[in-house]
Amino acid sequence: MTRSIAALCGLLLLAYTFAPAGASANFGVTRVSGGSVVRQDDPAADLIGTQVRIPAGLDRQSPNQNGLAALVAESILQTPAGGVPLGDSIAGDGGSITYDVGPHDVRFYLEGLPASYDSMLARFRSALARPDFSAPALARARTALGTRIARTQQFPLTVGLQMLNRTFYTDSDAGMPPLGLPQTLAGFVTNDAQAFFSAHYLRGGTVVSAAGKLDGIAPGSLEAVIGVLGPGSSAPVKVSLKQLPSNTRQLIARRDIPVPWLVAQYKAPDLASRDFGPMLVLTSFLERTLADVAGVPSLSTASSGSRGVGATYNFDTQPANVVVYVDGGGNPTQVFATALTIVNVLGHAKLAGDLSDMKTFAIGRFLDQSTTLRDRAWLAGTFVGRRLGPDYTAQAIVAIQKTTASDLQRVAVRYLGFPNIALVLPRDPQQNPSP
Amino acid sequence: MIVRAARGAAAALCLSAALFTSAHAQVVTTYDDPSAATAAVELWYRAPSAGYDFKSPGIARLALAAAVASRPAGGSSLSEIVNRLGGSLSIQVFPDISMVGASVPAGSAPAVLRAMTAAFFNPVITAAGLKLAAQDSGVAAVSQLYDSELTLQDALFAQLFSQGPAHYAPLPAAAQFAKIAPADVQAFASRAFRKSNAIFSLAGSVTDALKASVPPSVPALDTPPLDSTLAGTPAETSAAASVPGMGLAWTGPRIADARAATAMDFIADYLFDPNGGTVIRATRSQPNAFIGGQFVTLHDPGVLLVTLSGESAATLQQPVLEAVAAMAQPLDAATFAAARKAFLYHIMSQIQTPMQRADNAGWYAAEGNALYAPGDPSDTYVNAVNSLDPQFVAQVARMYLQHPAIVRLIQSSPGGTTAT
Repeated sequence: MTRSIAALCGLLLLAYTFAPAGASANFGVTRVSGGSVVRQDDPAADLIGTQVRIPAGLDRQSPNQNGLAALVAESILQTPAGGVPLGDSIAGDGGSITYDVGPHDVRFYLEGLPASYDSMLARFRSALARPDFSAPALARARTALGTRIARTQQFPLTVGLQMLNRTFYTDSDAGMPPLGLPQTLAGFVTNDAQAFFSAHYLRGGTVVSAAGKLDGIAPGSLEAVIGVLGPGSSAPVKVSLKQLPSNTRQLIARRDIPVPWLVAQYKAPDLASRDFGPMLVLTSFLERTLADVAGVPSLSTASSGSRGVGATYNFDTQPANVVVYVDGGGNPTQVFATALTIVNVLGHAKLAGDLSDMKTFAIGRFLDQSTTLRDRAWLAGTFVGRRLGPDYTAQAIVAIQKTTASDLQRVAVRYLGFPNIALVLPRDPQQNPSP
Repeated sequence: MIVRAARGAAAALCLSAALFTSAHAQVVTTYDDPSAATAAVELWYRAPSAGYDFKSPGIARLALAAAVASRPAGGSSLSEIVNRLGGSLSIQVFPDISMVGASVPAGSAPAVLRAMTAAFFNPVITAAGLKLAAQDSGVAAVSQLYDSELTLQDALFAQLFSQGPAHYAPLPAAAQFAKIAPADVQAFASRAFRKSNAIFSLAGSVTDALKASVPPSVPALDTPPLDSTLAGTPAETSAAASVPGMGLAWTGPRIADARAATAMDFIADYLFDPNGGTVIRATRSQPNAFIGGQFVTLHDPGVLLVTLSGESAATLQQPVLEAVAAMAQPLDAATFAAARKAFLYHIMSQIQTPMQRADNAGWYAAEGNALYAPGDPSDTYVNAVNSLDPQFVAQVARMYLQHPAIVRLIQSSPGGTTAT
């Protein structure tokens, strides 16, 4: 609390300098048939990581296709390569391949040793060119998805976010459960998967973003990933979902968890907006405030996965959003109320004094959370996907540095008003399972 | 290998770059990645977690946290400085090693290193700092009560080693911290964190300014790696704990025997990698059962740890023992080749960030073989991986993986473990 109030009052604390972050990174962008290839060369790296994001995510599903995007993505990993599923084939060659299904796109991530990376990339391209949607392959994909779905339900933050997303996206199915539900997955057949793939695995809007020791990749290999996709682009499927009534902003679910969790979601400015920097500052400020107010002493920094309180600015989706979460280790209602009060103060009173402390903290958090190859590939791909330059660190630092007190007030008023809230509560053993 | 995993955090190794040895005799390991926007700065110490007389379990944890939290006159504590920068602060205590580390924006790293050495080389533990440290250590201890993996690791080490640092849990029951006198904390900090016991580990964007922030008058390391005394024949015991579980441990090669230690790393990876390990895959359908396996590289001897947790943990014992026993026979050439590539990838994937690199370099230096750290420019580790063949791995398995120590956790109310 002390630190937050100090920052709120605009106290000047420390004035550290920042290195020209990423100045040595060698970025390159090429446009290919409506898609983009981003290179982030890092000769000091031992690996290569490539994110391939294809606009074939949840918003390409119609209401009766919940889970089809995930089933298609999983089937690609199950497609045989050298007699074994692609995922196993890559693992046996010194790499890994995973995927996430997002509101708008599906994101494959291929990471591996430079010596065999070209070969892995070729096998991935081959699976993308000729995915196996046969009944046995779909059955394997359903099994794999079933395991992942069950696992996600053990994480209260994920459960809360999925509930909130279902009300956040009102003109598409972008807020549906990312992996679908076992009962919906069971109904899809080969033709469904093939039709979805043909309609949405297209070059337009695809971004291939590679980071690491890129001299291990043959010229044209990354571009060829886009080349195996069909020409053209697809659009989200328009649907109209009912919004929550204005007096109903809380969603409740019960799971087998020891303590309740409170998750709140706000709309947030787009990555390309002038409000991007101020929202980065506000989000990091919220994160610090929540940690302070929660009062759990921790001298060391908890990993994001083990943190009981936090705030995240999801700027890679449209509309963007900010998520604030508090677990019930202490008093989540009190912690959350205090954080909201501070945000409210920010919205109603322009900060006086120097914002250096808040900016310093925001820059530090951004850099600290962009150190793995996966994060670096994701960030560069996200920026280029929004038609920005690939040097995400430089742009984020500039956006934060030029934030003014007026910006903070304006952005707080505009975005951090009334959130939708999800409560994930421990299951009452006497009750039936809730959604 | 395996650094952080020994205490439940991510395992870590180190990336390519030039080894920088300062003009002083002090060991300084540096892994320089010019494209990094952050730098990790760490200090590693050889110090017994239970105190030099082994009578104060937890004193290293308390002293480390107190040094981090204590404010110098008119200044900020190291914890406050790193937090203000939006960086990450790490404090880790192992039976024979303590470390403090920070990952911060590159431009701030020199100032943070100076603050770190000021806080540790001449530690002044304040009452307020000690209070925060006790709270922090207490919370960590309570959290560990519900972490069966860490609980099992401590219980297995206590059984494997009859005397020495490894016999004692680095994080004892929360109540223990209140029993440690402030004067003892100060005395321990002054002795353990002295300049001549410090190993610097720097990684990420290591600028000339950062190198210049290493104090100019650091003497040579004066403490060898700390070993413990093995208890005779491994036995099977039970312990009361807050969570159910079961653990198995085999003593393995010392860190100086790089090829054999690497073979043990390979075995642990082949069987227990969380995503592709053969045992993990074979038992994935078991409900409420979780397996962890790693070889902890130590000065002498190393330890292969396998932890089985969850309500169905006991059902996993037989499959694990069978899989370990099967390693005594050489894998076929194709299986071995694929497994070795996967192993090398897993190693490299764990050394991506500056903090991971610094963690790893510090661990290997503290255990007495800095060059063996994966990613070291000498390529000692990679060469050891490439030298492995199915016959040698099987030979190592036959030599070391015979009789495990076994600990069963019997679930009771929270309050720590008690060997029976």
